[in-house]
Amino acid sequence: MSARRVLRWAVPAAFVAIALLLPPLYGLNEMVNPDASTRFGLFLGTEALVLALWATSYNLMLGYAGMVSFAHAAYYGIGAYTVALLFQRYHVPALAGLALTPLVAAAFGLVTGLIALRAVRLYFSLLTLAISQLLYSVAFNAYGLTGGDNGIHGIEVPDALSDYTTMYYFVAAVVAICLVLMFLLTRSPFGAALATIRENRERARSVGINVRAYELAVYTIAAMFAGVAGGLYAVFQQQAFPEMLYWTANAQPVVVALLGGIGSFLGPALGAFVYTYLASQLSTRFSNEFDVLLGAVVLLVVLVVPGGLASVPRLFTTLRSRFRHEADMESVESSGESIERADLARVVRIEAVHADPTPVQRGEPLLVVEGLSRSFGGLRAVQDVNLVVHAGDRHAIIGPNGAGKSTLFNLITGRLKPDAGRVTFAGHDITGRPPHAIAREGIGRAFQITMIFPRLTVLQNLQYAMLAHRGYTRRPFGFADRMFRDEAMDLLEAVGLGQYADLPAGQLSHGDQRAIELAISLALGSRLVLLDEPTAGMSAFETHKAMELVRRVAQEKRLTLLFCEHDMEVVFGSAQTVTVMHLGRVLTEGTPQEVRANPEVQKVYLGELEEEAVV
Amino acid sequence: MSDAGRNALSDPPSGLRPPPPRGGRGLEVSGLNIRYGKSHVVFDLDLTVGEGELVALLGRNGAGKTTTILGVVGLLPGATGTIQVGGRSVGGWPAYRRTKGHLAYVPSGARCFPNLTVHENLSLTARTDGQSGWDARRVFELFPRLDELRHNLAGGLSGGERQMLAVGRALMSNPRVMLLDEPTEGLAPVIVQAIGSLLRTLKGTGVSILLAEQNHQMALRVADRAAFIEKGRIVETLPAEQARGSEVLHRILGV
Amino acid sequence: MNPAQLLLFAIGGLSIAAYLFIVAAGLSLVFGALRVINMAHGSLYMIAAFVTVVVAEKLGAGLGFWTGLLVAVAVTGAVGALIEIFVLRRVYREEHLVQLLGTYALTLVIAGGVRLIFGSNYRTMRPPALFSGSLKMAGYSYSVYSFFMIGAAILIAVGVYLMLYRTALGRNIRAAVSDSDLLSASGIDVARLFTTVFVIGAGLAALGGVIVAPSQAVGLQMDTDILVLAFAISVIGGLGSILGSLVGSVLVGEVISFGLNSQYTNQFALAFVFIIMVGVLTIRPWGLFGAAEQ
Repeated sequence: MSARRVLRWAVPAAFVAIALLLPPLYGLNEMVNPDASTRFGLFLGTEALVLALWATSYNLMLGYAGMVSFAHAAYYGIGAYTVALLFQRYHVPALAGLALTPLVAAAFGLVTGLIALRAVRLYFSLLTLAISQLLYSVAFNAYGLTGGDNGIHGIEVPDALSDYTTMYYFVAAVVAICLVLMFLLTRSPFGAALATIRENRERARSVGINVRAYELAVYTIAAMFAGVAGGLYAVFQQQAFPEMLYWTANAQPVVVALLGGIGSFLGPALGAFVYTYLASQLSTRFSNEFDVLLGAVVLLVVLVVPGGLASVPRLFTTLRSRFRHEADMESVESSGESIERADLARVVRIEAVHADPTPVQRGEPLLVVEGLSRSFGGLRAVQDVNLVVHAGDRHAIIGPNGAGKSTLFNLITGRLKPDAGRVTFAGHDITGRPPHAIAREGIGRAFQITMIFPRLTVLQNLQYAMLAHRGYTRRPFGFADRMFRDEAMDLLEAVGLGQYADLPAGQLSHGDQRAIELAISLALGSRLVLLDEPTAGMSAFETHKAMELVRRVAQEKRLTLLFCEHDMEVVFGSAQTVTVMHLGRVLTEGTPQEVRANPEVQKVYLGELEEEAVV
Repeated sequence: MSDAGRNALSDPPSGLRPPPPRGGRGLEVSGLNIRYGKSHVVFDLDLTVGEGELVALLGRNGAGKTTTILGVVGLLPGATGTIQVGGRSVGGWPAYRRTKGHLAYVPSGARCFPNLTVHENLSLTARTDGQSGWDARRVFELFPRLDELRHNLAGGLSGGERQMLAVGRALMSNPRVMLLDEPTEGLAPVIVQAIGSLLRTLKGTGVSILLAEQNHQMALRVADRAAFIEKGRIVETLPAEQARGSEVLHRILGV
Repeated sequence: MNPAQLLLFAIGGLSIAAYLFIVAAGLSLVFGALRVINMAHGSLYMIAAFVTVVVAEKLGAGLGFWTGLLVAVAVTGAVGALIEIFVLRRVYREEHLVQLLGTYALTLVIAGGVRLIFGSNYRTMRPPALFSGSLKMAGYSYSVYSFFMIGAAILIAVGVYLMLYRTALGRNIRAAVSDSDLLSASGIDVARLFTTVFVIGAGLAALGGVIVAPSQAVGLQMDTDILVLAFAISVIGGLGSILGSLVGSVLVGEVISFGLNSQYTNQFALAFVFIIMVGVLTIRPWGLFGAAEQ
């Protein structure tokens, strides 16, 4: 493990060192090799720095939030044009123009982001393409405003910066400040929220994150830094031209980010330097075939090494350990029996599982559903359902397939809007509100299919869920990985997952992932937790242990549970109240014994289907 | 049988004679293990359905019925084990090859192609058997309602009509083995009975049928044997008469 | 604007719509069945255009055009098959980004290859004798070739429709659009079907390139210029809908035609297309005829 840590720091450290020492290194080179041109080398270095900033800002969206945008080059171009136009028309000094680029680019980013983010995923990407082309055609055609297809040239810079070395250090300083700011952002709770959005949008919503708002925020911030990069370009190249905004110009930061690795913060920067030097070498030697080679390289990376250059150290260590002891690797595989190790007493003691002091007394109605209905086309999935869940109760909903249980859950948690009826929680009307708002009210949900954040570690899964739920994710400062660490670790160990804390959650077995799901729901401190078939996919023993855990915790911490299940042993072992649904309606309700003894219920499960089904 | 049960749907259509016996065995599954990523969901499953036999696979939701069937059809990459149809080992074949006349799959929810017409849905799986096998004409004889709807888009059909179509599609490939996943879910009792009769008729033509169901009443009326599945394992297999009202039935399916 | 001018611009718009439709239909078809956005679609169009022009240079305008048609479609189809088998098959299950990047890398390779083989100069060719010359209507001159283009597009649209709705292949393609897993479980080799669909899409891109070659200069920017418009049309009309491609193409073609011909909007003709694209997406996020995805 220590080799891994060393490599993790070695690469960025080496990178920073080289970047800082580039001018003296080139000076040395020139002494040794008189033909070498320091100026050209520094020119390339400056280019690489600007590209590094641009690519890293792109990666904020791509690697951290999972958004593919074709408009990023537009903000880069806008940054350049800000400096250029202010200089040409209003004689604003270039550096002052540079200082204004973040504002201008952020403004454009915000407005266009609002439009683009009305669509999702692929359509979002295509919309950004349209916006980009729109801005490009303005830059290209509005001769009066932007100098048309000629662009703007001859921007003057202060004398101090006319020396290549000084310019290099100036650009390096600006880039460094921006990189540090972006880095802090990615490590902050805000960055944690982005990671959850990238990993599992639906899950992020259900822990209280307003996905659209965060996407808009990161889009604007990324645009802002792209604008700074563009401004730097204008200062150092002393020009701006329309092709900077053409949609295919986006290829550069994408390719660079991919080359360096979108999974790490410095990956794109690394890629930028490699790309710039590679490109200059290739274009002098293979000027004709450059495009083909570049394309071939990208193709190779996409098909063979999706992690990019930054993942090479990781590949290396994985290969090394594979040649070592197989036994070491064994211990990393999770056996799926974490629940067996669960320490119930400990769980019960943990602060993290503490439910907010609720103004609703035990036994009083906490969740009230009145006349809830929802149809899909001709199918009446939920019809006029009335349900009351009392505080502190463990309430189960059972019913054969198609009874409407999942639909009911979706209606309560806001994933679906009802056609009619009302849902009240602790006195507040939550009917039809969006999922993240309902999560904030204090309703948590564990999903039927495991919905975790696969590439985040198990510990991060819990930490970030806590951060989101308690509203910390609005903060762009602070270190997310240090917050709630002890609480989360405590809870993990209590449910038996402690040893997997640093493993990517996606690598765990299904049973263990369910345990994480449960832990997240418990950790959120919700007052009401909805469990959608919590023991699906678990072995008999896991089921037993899991429900024991859930029961004890709910009891000690005055959590209210609403769960739907098919496993009858679970229902009769854990529930205090049982509601039976059939064909979208409530059939009956009562204690487990009452329900079991009810002949109608027996019929529904075991006997003839008396009523006419939808044909 | 009540009068309601005796209708065009429950009697074999005129002109449909059982084709001559094909020889060979039906479906033999042994050592079927299915994994979704890291989780192991079906454990060492053995199942045999002889020629002209109907085996009911009974179990609750989440017990592994659908997973088992998907594994046999070949739609799950994480499935290992031996699967033989008519004596031929098909375990290594991709799903499309298995479903070309060896296996036919009637998916749960009467899944069809909603943007194709009834006729197009049927013609898609059509395979001739050389002899007196199933074709569109015979399927329409069996399901006259579908004949009326032949040029309608499948997406506009009611649940019962779509189920008929799904069964019809399976028949069109003249399979040796048919796998049905909860075909009676959400359907009116009349249609449930009709499907039961159809299955009995099919048995008579030598087709091996594996029927996954929660509606054990209907399933046990047509089944020869019942296999009870719980959490990915077959816990018991009984002849149908013994399965009815048995302790294992109540344990696995009851409340 | 008098009616005669209106007619002039309208028909001009239709001739633009003609080749746009052919290309966009190919893109839409591939997306509908394979759920992949092929960035290299414009590159295939460009290959076909270059091949046609070069063949015409060797064989003269008449014979050259028709031979060029055959050769270009064959070459492009072959390239398409290679792309599907060696690149796309690896990225079907990956995220959209990987697919976009992979196919984008192909555009670089293809563009570089085209430049190496054909050089970076613009090339032109004349239309075949049969469709050359001009026609006078209501006081304005129309090129005969533009009518050929419109006619060819209509023919191709009918051909695509017949293929989709009257053949077994078309039925299978439509089935794949709605549920390719079920199709696998219905005895159809979906992998081979995907290759076939992609080759058809490539063929359509090729036909677009062949048809456009005699009407404008053929150069190295063709791939990105057409791709942007094809995307816009697919988005406006709805990804995966051929009818949507038709409607979208006519809309875009007319907007460009009228835009280009008015002195006020000359420079911004293309911009209007994108405004429409933005407008359509904000009101109907799936395009005019697109299906809402879950």
